[in-house]
Amino acid sequence: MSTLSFDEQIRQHIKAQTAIQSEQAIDWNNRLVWWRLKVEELLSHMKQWLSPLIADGTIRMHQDRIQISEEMLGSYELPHLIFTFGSVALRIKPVGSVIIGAFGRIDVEGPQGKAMLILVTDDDDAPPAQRREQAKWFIAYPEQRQKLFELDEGAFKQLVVDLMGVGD
Amino acid sequence: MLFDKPTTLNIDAVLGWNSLILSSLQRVRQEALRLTKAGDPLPEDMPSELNYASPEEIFAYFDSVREEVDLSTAFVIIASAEARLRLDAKSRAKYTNNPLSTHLNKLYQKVDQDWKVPFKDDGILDAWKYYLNFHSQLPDTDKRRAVSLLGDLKSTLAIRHWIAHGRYWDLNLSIKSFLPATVARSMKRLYRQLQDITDHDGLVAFNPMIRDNISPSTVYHKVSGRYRSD
Repeated sequence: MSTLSFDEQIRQHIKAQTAIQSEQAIDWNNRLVWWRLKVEELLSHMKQWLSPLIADGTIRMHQDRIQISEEMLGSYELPHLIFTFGSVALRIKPVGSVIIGAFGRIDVEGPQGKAMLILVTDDDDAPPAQRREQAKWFIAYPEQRQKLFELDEGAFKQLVVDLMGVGD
Repeated sequence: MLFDKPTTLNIDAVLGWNSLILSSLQRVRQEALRLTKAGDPLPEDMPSELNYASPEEIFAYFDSVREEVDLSTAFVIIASAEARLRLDAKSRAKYTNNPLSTHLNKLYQKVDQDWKVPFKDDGILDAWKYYLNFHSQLPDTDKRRAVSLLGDLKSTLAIRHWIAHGRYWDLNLSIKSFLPATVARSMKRLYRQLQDITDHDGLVAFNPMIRDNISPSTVYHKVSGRYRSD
């Protein structure tokens, strides 16, 4: 017999049912299509932001595909970028869309450390149904996850400088 | 507090505390996994390390928290064994009517403060070992078992020191060998063995104030000069 009170049992049951219903309400196929698009769009921005240095051979770019498996989205492939500067590399690796507190994450790893690119809305008041629609890319650092920095061309270039140790 | 006195550091109560924490952890982990699907922000009462974590990272995080909880539990059990043996040794050292008490008495005579009596080498554990090897009337097989259990406690102390001193050196032992249930079993065996030695040889019973397999609610301890039940 459960040790929970009647009221508590009912509350927990309703909470569990609501969670199941909201999971079922999510169109995961649509989510995967949206997530792929977001990743491809961002990676193409990155290539464009670095294009002058790629064009003159200062930075070498290698694009590969990685296999990702997520319980709700199944197994799928996404592009994975490696920018090589001399003998060191900066890896841009998608992690997944089903994560806590956001709608997707790409990890960026260089010789000086790691950052995370997070697809999330910065509007805390956005209703749950609109949170994904409003999601944008932000930079977060593993040791300081509460702080988000909006990702644009300038922020990305600064991230490259920081993670590659340029000027150190 | 649950374990505010050495007398309340009952092994089964410590294991109960460990399983309560582990089952709570499991529930929080379930909630964290649910959040990944819901896209909800990380609640304030969850650690920020879980922000933007994938399910694999959530499992890894909770596995490492579990390891820490188990390690802390093992630490409490080992440290309480030291407390029990020290309290027992101190009361035994008041007398010199048997070789064990005489040996312990000499150890306490040499120091100005009780904590300075060595516990491991040339200390309390070795006093028991010496007594077993040269004076105890126990059958040889029981003596060997008791000496081996005292040896187990000595090796277990390595992990207790490592945690207590902030892990600033590499431990040459596997943490997995110090799971709470394993450590608890080994300590209980040692206590039983010490009780058998004292019973068999007619010594003052091993630490009669602290008994295992009793719940904290039935443990009596001295508060302000009088005994009370928790």
